[in-house]
Parts: sequence; structure tokens; C-alpha cells
Amino acid sequence: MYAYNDGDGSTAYDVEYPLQIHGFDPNFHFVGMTFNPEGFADMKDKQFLLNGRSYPDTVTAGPLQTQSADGVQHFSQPLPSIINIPAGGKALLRISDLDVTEYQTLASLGIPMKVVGYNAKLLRDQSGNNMYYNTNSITLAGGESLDVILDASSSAYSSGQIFYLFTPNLDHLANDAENFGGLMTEVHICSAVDPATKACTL
Amino acid sequence: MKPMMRIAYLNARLLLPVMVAVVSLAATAHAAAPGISASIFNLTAQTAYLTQPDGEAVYSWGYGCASGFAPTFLPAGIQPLNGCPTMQVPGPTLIVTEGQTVTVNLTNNLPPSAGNTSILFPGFQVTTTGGVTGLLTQEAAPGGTVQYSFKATSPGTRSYYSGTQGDLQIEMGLYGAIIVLPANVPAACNAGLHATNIQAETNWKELSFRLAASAYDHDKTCYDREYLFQFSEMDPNIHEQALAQVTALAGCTAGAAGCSLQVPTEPYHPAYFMINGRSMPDDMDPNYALEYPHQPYNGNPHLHPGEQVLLRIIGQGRWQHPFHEHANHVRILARDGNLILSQSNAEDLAGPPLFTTTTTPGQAMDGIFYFTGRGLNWDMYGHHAGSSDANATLPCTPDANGYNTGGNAYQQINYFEWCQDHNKPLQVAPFGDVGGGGPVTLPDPNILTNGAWFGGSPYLGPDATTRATFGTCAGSATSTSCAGTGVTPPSGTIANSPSGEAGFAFMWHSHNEREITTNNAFPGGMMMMMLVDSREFVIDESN
Repeated sequence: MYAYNDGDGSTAYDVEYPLQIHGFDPNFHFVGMTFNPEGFADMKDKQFLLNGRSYPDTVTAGPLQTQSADGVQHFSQPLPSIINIPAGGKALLRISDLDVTEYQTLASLGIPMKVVGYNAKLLRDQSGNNMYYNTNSITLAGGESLDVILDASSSAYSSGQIFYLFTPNLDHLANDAENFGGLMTEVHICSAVDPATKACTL
Repeated sequence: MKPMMRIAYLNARLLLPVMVAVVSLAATAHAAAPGISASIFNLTAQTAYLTQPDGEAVYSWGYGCASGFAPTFLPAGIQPLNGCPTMQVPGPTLIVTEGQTVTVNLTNNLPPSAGNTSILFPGFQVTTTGGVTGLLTQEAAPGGTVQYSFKATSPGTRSYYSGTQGDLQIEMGLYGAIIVLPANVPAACNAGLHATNIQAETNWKELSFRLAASAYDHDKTCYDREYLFQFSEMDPNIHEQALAQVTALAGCTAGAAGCSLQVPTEPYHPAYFMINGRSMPDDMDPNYALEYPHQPYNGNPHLHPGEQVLLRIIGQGRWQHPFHEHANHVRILARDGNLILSQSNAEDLAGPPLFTTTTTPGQAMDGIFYFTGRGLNWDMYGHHAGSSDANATLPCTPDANGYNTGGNAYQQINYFEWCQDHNKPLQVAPFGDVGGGGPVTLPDPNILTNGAWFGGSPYLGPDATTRATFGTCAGSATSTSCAGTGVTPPSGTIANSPSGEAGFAFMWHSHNEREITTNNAFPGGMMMMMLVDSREFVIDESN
């Protein structure tokens, strides 16, 4: 599997994950439920989300449900953000950002990132030279996207290891008043990963 | 922008009485990159009030033309009605040519308590004459003058801004842009598709408003149309405090004890977010509009399918802004006047194609944008073999790239059509004089899609839009041949009439929510509409 029609195999991956970055200000949402004008200039995010969930919910398997106005539980946040990578393999992260308040940075601790696409275009000059780059963090604004490959192909990685994707914007590692949470998830090294179900076999 | 009532945009619960009276009736409002040209620029730094769409007048400082200085205004088709303002935000766009020696004489006409001021020209080797020594450059003391001189060594777009107490002076409005035009425009810019685009322009009696035919001395930087966008923000509290202190210290002697401002510039809490010194919808009014005497530049991009459009984008102020362009990617040509080329072949570009071009304070970038409709997967001209309208049955002959550009196509309204989609229907049922057989049933524009910019038509140009609204089924809603469609009147677009411009409107905006408001009222701020206009609609950038 390849992230792009690269022609040289350079965007190959074993398993892929969508990651959507978001954040919101619960105070602004509360005002929206009242009949008062929202204070746009005062917006200050206090919840930081990956695929609609904050850590530790990001690593809870399966869909999350909440009760709707009809009194019934409905799926509200269907996607976890657990990144399972087969040892010796590569994971493609399709990262998009829809935060409408500020820039967000996502860092990888322990597994190198290779950025192969930016704003839905292969990173390549007009002469066909690859302009990929290795990094440990990426920064996006709302409305942006990029494609990054987490490369666990080194023999240094073995099944059972856990690494972290987290924001180095340290004030974003919180769930409002709760001190540890926010924009973070886990990367699990497995002996095998089902590319369709993403199930990890240790 | 066509005549529009500004109140249509405003959140009713925040409507101020003063705004109800404000009705913008601009005849035309397109943009380009207007500015001033001279070998010696005599500038001044002065105070004035900037108007905002919420009715506020914000005390500000800005650069302008010194008394007696009469520059040449470029492009020739965009001339101010009242000459060069003595203060404007952004400052005058300085337009020079590669290799030219540029001299700027800056006179400080700010209040004495504001202290010294200056200009930095990052990217150039500046020599200074006169003035007083400052931290970053020679400065003009109150009432004094300083001279900056440099050679415009390479083409491109760059910012200039105050080098004195920047946290306050840039916030107050002391910034602007300098455009260096290439000395050697490549011959390729007047050949091939560029020549055909010029033929089309001439055919429809459209004037050119570009400053040059290329952005750099490189044939991959040729362009047909250009726009300059400067992004900045204002915290009104800082401006209020500056005004209060300047007022309290009126008449003090410059340099005397106590004759200085102590305006806190943190915590920073901006409420106005501007493109070229104006908030939406003011940014879509004409350049040099008389109602904004100190905010002469607008943000109102227009283009025809196939035109190469140069975007000159500058971050001013102190925040980054995610400038989000809808409709296509922007191929970045250069940053701060440095053309980004492939390392293996200097004929090729290496800048990335982006749909969000983050503006960063002090940084400029040049990019190329275009729109052709390729990828829509329907015939956006509404061609339809059964029509009796000649414009509905135009041919599409693909060139090597798949577009309709050869022969006399430049005389047709489907010039630059993507031929793979020619005659490809969009709607399931025939809609007026547009054929059916496509995959979708669109909402009835009578019910859902009236708006200032969107009339509900997926077709480009008054011919196709009118055929898709009045059409052959007009007045026969119960006719089975109309299948309940084709009866809609022209929808209620205020600014983009189905029978007039009928362009595709795409919002170009900051992706941050607070930045598309004006002092907490949505919509506003850093937002504008980019109009893709059908070929026969004459884009008149003059004001």
C-alpha cells in the first residue's frame, strides 16, 4: 500500500490511520446554548482532541456512546486513535486539523516521522525529486492536512513496546481542569497488525 | 463587488444603529496590487483613524506620502481620486524595478510623545543618512527626517515595517509592502497559453492590471493577474490607551522628561482581523474608496478560468494566520523574494502546492493560483446538445493538456474548458435548459440556497445560470416534462447576480474562527470572496 502514486515505492506503508486534530472552548459552547452573543475574541481552547476524543479516551478501543436528547445511547465518538504498527513495519498517519482557534503541534516520541505529503499533495518538486523530510513533530493550522509515515522498520522495535504521540504544547496536555490528558495517544508495536481491522497481535 | 447592503451580513443581535445607515453602493470593486512608483519616496508617519465595519474609528499610526510628494500610481488603470494619503494602513505599496536604487526619506510627524520612528527593509542592504541612532536602524526623531537607501537587488514581494518599538508601532499600523518587478521578463510570458490568455482578454475588451508579466526573471513565474494581501490584527485596547496618553501629553516637548508613552502591549487581545487594513465586508469595496480614506487597498480577487494568478501574501502584525484558499492549491513560488527552484533543474519550481498559506509576521510569499473546473466532474458551462442557445452547444477541442484553448476558442465563453467534462450532465432531471442524466438532484434554490454570493446554480456564467433557472420550463411547474424543476426564478444573490456576473464564489479566509469576526460579530475580519468569472464577464479592476 502506498500513500501516493509515487512511482518509486517511497510512500509504502503497512497500516494506515486517520488522525483529526481538534480543540474547543467549553465556555464558548456553553454561551452558544444561551441567548447571549458569543465572545469570539475570547475563545480559549480547553479541550484538545484526536478523532474527537481526548487522552485517555483516545486509547479506549471501540466506539464511545453518549445519551442523546431521546434518552437513548448513541455513538458519539466512534473512532479511537490507537496506532498499532507491526514490528519492522510502517504506519501512514493521515493527519488533518480542524481546530479553529490555534495552531497545534503533534510530536512522536521514539519513532521517527517522515513527512511525504502536505495539503494532500506528494512532497515533490517539479523535476520529480522527493522532498520528504524526517522530523519528530509536525505543526498544523486548522484547515491543513499532511501525510506522515511512522517508521518502525528498524530492528530496534519489538512487539509489546508502547510509544506516544503527544503535543509538546504542554498546556494542551490537559482536559480542562484535569491535569493530564488532551492531545495524546499511544503507538503500540505488535508482532502483526490486521490492516483492515487494525487489530494488534502481540 | 456589486451593489450590496452591508447589513445583510450582520448578526442582527449585534447590529448597531450606526450600521443600519451604512449602505455600500460600489459600482466595481476588484483588486490587483496597486501602489506607488518613484525613484525617491518621500514618506511620512502620521496619525489618523481607521474605520471598521462595526462603526468604530480606531486611532492608528501609519506611513503615507509626505506633503508635496507626487508619486506615479501603478497599475495605470487604478488611480486614486484624492492622491496619496498622508497616512494609510498598510503603508503605500512601493513598486520598484530590479536593479533600481531606492531612496526613502521618512519624516516623523507622529505626536512628540510617540517618540522616534523608522523603517526596516528586510532583505536589502540599506544605508542610512541622517536621523538619530536607534536600536535596529537610524530613526527619525519627532519632526525629523531620516533617509534609507538601497538597491533592489532581486525581484519579489517583501514587507517593510517600523524598527522602533515594534510591539507598539507595528500594532498601531506602521507597516507596508515593497514589490520589486523583474528587470528581464522572460519571452515565454508572451507566448503559448499566456499569449492566448491575452488574446481572450483583448477579445472581451478587458484591460490588464498586472504590474509585470512575470514575478521573477523566470518563465515559470509568468502571470496574468495579481493580488496583494497583507494580514494583520489590532487590539483596540492598545489603540485606546495610546490615544488617551497622546491626548494627555499633547504639546509636550519631544525628549523631555515624561513626554513618552507607556502603553502596555501585553496581554494581547486582538478583536480586529484585517486583510489590507480592512475587515470584511469593507475589504470587498474598491481600492481607494472614499469611505476609507486611510485604508486604500482592498481584498477582492477575481479571475477567469485558466488565468495564472499571482498571489503576493504578507504577514504583518504579530500573529500567524492560516490563510485558507478554497477552489485549488496555491503553488508557492518564493519566500521573502527568494525563488524556490529544483536542485536538479533550475528550470523547475520546488515550492509546495498549498491550500493553507500560513502568514507569519514579517514574512512574504509569492504563489500562483488558477482555476479551470477540472475535477468537478460535470460540465460547469451547462452545455446541452438539445438546446437552441448557441452558447449551450459550443464545441470543446482539447489541447495537449486537455483544455479548450486552440483555434478561436479564446473567442468563446468556454475558453479553457476541461474537455473531459464537456456535455457531462450534473442533475438527474433536466433543469430548465440544462440537460439531465447526471447523478444528483440539487436542492430547490427557492427554498435552500438564496444568499449574497450563492444563488444555487452549479453553472458558470449568466448564460448557463439563466438557462438553468428560467429555461424552457418557466411557468409550467406542473408540466411532467419539467418534473418539478426548471421553474426557479433567478435566486436572490445580492453580490453575484445570476443574470450579471454569475461567477463561482469561493471564500478565502483565515481558518481561525475568531479571525473571521469583526470585534466579535460574525461574519467579518479576514474574509473575502474569490470570484471565478465566466470569460465574457469583464473584470474591471479600476476604481
